[in-house]
Amino acid sequence: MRIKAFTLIETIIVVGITGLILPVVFSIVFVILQQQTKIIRLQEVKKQGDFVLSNIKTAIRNNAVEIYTDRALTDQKCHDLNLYDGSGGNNFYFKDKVGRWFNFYLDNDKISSGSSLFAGNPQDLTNDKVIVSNFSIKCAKQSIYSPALVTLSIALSFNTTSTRPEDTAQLTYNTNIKLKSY
Amino acid sequence: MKKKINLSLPNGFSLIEVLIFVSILSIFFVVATSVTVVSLRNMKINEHKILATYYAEELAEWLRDQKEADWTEFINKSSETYCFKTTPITDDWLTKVSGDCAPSDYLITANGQPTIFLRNAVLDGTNQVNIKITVSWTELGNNYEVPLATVFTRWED
Repeated sequence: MRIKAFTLIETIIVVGITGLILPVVFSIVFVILQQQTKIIRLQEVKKQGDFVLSNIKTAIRNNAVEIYTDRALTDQKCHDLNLYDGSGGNNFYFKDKVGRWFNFYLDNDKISSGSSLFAGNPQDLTNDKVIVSNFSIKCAKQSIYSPALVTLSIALSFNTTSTRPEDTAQLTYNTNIKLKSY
Repeated sequence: MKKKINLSLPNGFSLIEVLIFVSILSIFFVVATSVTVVSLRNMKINEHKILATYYAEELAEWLRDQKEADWTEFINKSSETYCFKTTPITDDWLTKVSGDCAPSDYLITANGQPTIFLRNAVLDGTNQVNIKITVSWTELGNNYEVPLATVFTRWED
């Protein structure tokens, strides 16, 4: 009696079809995952960028009165018409209405916020997921009677070693803030 | 007693069985593919929505800067429609257009790559400026847009 089994040709056909379908399925899954990763990264960068920008803007607009280069608030800047560039924010201190200082600066790829209220314990405004590749803070005055205008520029990118465009997400934020109380 | 097997009948599936199986399988594959395609398309649209929102906010922020810097200058630009074609915005008031951006006025990134977005802003008013920013794009035959409206006044609280 003949043994019931698949013949070689049947097995080859089945394996061949499976071999065709599996790569297609996996490539679709791969594309979906990649797309999802990209969205998540873009979202993360935008979320943190929006947060940093609104946080800094609100703080400066509502609380800053004068601008200084030092914590002791002795060397005032932008009270005259000279432009002052605080580049990384390390020498850029704001004085608030009651004479305390606060600042925003670039620290280890993060934006930190310091204040005399919690001196020695600065707070990071961004986390490890995002790298701040550029942070510049400047101030200028249009006329001697107008308030100082603070110019901020922040570039954020997702923290990844990959350089492929589908893995990276970068956004740049620029804004000008007028000191409300001066 | 052993049951006798009829060896004259061939072992295998009948045509109707194979047809049913193949059609069920193909329905499954068609559904799976369409679900995948729809979800991929939605993902792409969502990615573009995030970017479009960013571009709209970028322009709103830039316009606010212009207003803060010089109100008189800013008011002179009012009652016009502009097409802002670069990101980050470097040039001054780029293109004054009547109506929306021309279909070829795509937003161009810093490395010179054109995007799929058209970004225009309508400025209206003299004492207070009403701003309507629209970032629009066409994707797979559908038009999408992210509108952003804001009002600028000379003095703000």
